[in-house]
Amino acid sequence: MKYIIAFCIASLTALAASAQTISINSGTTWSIPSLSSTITKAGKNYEHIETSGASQTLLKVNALIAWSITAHLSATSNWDSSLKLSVQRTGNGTGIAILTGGTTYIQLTSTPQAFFSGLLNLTANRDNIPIQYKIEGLSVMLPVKTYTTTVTYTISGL
Amino acid sequence: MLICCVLSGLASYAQTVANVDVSISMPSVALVDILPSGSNSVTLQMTAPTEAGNTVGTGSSNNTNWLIFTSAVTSGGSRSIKGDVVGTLPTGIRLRLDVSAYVGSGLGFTGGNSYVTANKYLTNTPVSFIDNIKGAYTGITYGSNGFQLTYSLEIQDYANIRSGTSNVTVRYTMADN
Repeated sequence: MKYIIAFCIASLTALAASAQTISINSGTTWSIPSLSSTITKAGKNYEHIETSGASQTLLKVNALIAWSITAHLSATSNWDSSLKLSVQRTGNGTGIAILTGGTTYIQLTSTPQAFFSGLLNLTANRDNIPIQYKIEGLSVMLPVKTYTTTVTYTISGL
Repeated sequence: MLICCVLSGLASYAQTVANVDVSISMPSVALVDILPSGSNSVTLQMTAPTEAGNTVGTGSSNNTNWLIFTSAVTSGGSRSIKGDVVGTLPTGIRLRLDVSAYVGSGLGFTGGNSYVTANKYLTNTPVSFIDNIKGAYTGITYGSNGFQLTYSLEIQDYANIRSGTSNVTVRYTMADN
């Protein structure tokens, strides 16, 4: 009997864990080939912030009970630390899970930070969760070139 | 079988990830301007002697103009600001330009960057007055941001001096080195 119970627990664990995924419906890139505002007067520096659309990235989460998502910069070799990249969740998307946190900007670093969490997906997807980005710290002091980085979202939980 | 199930569960418990690539291109910037107190016209004159045998008096000077700029360059790149005269200066007279050290709340003026050169005279040939400009911005507040410019006249060749009035334009250009 105890073997049967253990088997069931192990199977449920496997099922729950295997159902936990995160993916991107749209917006796997945010590219700024030309700044939204230029310097028009000698002597000035940039004074604006580059902001993406409110739904630049749409995340899809598939989990069972309680889960959380962290965000960090996973590729920084061609990035400059004075460029401050932040993310926020601008909505709930669709689905039954209860979402918490992430509705104000958090500035990303190379260390994963808690972004937002969810409760009671019950194997249903939480779909099209909208994510917005902004970059602060624009300056003529930065060497002229294209800077690139990667934002990595990681899901954990059950 | 039980062990297999547990191992399977642990394996699939591994976190999953999603990636978004972000890129931003910072452009080249090269802007230079003159901040005058009112008009950017400058009037200089030599004083005529009042007694036979005396030399021409010291010429007047003017320090009411300030030079400001913004620059963004590639890594390893630099620029200079060159000045030249468009027009013909009076014979026997030199137009001197003294560029004061940078003052203000901008960035890019330390560590040998954006330094004032030793050049002192404006001619029809552009010469550098501020060199090794990299990423920098001066600020824009008149009198407290930028490089103060002082123009004055000097006698170069007394024998060639003639009376009269000349109008010339001083042109500043920010150029890649």
